[in-house]
Amino acid sequence: MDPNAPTLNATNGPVLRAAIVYLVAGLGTVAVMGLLGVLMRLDHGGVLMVSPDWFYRIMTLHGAGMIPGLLFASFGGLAAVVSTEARLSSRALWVGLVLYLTGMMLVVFAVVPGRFAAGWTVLDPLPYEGKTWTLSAGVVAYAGYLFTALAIVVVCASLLRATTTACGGARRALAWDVLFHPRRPSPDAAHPPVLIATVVSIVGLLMVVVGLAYLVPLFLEAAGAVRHVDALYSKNAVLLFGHTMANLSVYVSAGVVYGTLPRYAHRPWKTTWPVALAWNSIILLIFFPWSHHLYEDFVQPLGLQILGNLGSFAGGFPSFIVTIVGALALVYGAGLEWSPATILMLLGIWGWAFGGVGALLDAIVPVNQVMHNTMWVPAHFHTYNMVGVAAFAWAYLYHLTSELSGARHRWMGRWAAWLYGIGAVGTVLFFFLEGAHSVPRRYAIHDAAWQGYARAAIPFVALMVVALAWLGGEVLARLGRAWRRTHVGPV
Amino acid sequence: MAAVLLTGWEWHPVLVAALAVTGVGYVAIWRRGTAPSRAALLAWQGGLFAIAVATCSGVDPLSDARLSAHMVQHELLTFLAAPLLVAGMRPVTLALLPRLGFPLARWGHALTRPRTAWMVAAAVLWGWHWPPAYDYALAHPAVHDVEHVTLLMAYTLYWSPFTPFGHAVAALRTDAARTLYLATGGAQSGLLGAVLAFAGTPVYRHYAAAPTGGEVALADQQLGGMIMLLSGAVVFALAGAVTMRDE
Repeated sequence: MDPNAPTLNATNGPVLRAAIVYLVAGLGTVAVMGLLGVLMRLDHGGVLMVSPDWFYRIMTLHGAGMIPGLLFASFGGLAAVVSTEARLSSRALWVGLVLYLTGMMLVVFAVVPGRFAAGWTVLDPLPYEGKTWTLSAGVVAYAGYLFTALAIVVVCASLLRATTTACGGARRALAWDVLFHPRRPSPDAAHPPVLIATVVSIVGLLMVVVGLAYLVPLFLEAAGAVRHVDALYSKNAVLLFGHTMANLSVYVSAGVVYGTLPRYAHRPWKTTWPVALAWNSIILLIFFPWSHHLYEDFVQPLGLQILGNLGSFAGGFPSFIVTIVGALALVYGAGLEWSPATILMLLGIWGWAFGGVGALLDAIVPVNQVMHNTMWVPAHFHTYNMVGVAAFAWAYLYHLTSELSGARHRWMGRWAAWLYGIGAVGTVLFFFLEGAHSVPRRYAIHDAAWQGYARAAIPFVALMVVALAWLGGEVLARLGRAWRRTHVGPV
Repeated sequence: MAAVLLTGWEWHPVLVAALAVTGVGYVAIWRRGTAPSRAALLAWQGGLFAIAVATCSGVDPLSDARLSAHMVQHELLTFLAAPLLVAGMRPVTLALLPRLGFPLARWGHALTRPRTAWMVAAAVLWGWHWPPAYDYALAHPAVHDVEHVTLLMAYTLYWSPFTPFGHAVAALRTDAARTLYLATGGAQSGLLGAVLAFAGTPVYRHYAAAPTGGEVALADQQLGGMIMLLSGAVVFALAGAVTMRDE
């Protein structure tokens, strides 16, 4: 794959338009949900009083909006990258977007007028019996999750079809020619973004099957067809689905980095044997770590507890050894061009690595017993989502709009990218410090002794908001020209 | 509710005659077309059947006592009959357009401009669900009929921009435009469903004053709101699947 090949070619203009809308809609959702996060942080700091009713509604909306928002922004980026080599259906992408927007709309309705505040907690009598909401609100929220799951099915099926067609079969799209014949040269091996698109689409489809395995019983419970869904089953299923979905967005956005970073390093990222092995192993390994969320459930079978610990560590290896080290090797001594996109991509790699370390610590049974119900958990997932996935998605949106519009980056854009990094790292640092000092998570009201951490984080949050506003302004200024260019085609 | 749709049919002569004439007239025009599409024929007749179910089946008398039944009736007209009629309208418009005068075609184009169609549909939907208007319609059968006719017409306008049939209809030309139109259209009708589903008290006096009492009316209103919200979500998602094109 030529690292300097232009993204826009004679046929992929419609896919790039859909990709731009995915990136803008996904990151727009993330921005709105981020502002809700700021409200919760101000509440934690005692700066602003949010009633417990509103706090849990905001928390529900924040979580239910953020994870799909990041995932769909990343899907947009990956679709754009893959469209240079595989013929993707723009129609499928738009259908997926309608489903995603419908799902989000239902969740917003359930939470705002419906006062639904159970988040993703399914232990009986939740999610249907709350103090402030009715059965209807619970059903609407979960219908929203169902539509989001269907959107994932449509996007993943279309990605899988495109990559397998382009490569002439699933074996080649998964780079098995490299994996099983490492000594035989494979000049036409699937390039990393195509391999990753194939892997994440298989994972996405399997993940939705798990999602349906917990959504269908919940709908049956709402209809009165079953009395209660088994608590342990629900908890395992919801975390297997939700944790995998959160992890999936990291892997999807990593595919975007594999396709974009080589352009700035002026070196190709090749599908070597370790790359093929790592990404193929993710198809299985991504489904193991969920169980580390259930160490405190004494009825959980011991085997699953062990699986949670070992699986979390095993799942970390492919990303650490291959992607992170591979990215550093790619840029080392390459005379990397420093633009907002590269700064954000390298920041994202740091965030992924650092958040991953936080996750691995949480996955160790004795550590988890102490830390799991503290702010350590939001610390680690905010690190790999806010500093990792969001940075990757912003990087790609900036890169794509710059390339299509022909605009060059200016020093202010680079500063904004660095400031975003400082703001985001400062924000998560205080989450980690709270966790290390056993400040509990999911509390609407924080004791006065805990409020200092959130207050200290506020300047960093403000810095991040300002930096993102600047980057967003630059992207918006280029968006119209970039959009029109997709109609014109390559010049 | 399903049983109600199948039983208790009342054949209103004027309505049945109008539906029959429209159905037979369509077939006559359709057969004379250059390339008659079976899908269009099925869609048109399906649309007429949906109107018949909404207005002649057991759901019609029940809608006087239950808001949920009334919502089923509205959904049948706006989310099933209207899009089906639009999907089947092409042979009719192709046959009739050359005979229509220029001002009429210009009117058609102006009314089906997406922004106009969207606003007309939203205004008619929200207007008829405004409690005084809704209660008044329930108390006056003729006004109730007007409510249903205007809802059907407003949503026929709403769905029209998805099918280009010449210069008399302004079409949504890109997938991005279709997505925006569907998402915002779904959001506005969904919001009305959410308002009804999550209201803490009965919104309409007519149902609240029923002998079964306010609690039953509230539970029925929540069901009605849910029917509107969830059926709308399904229909708008399906419309997305049907109308998007590989550009």
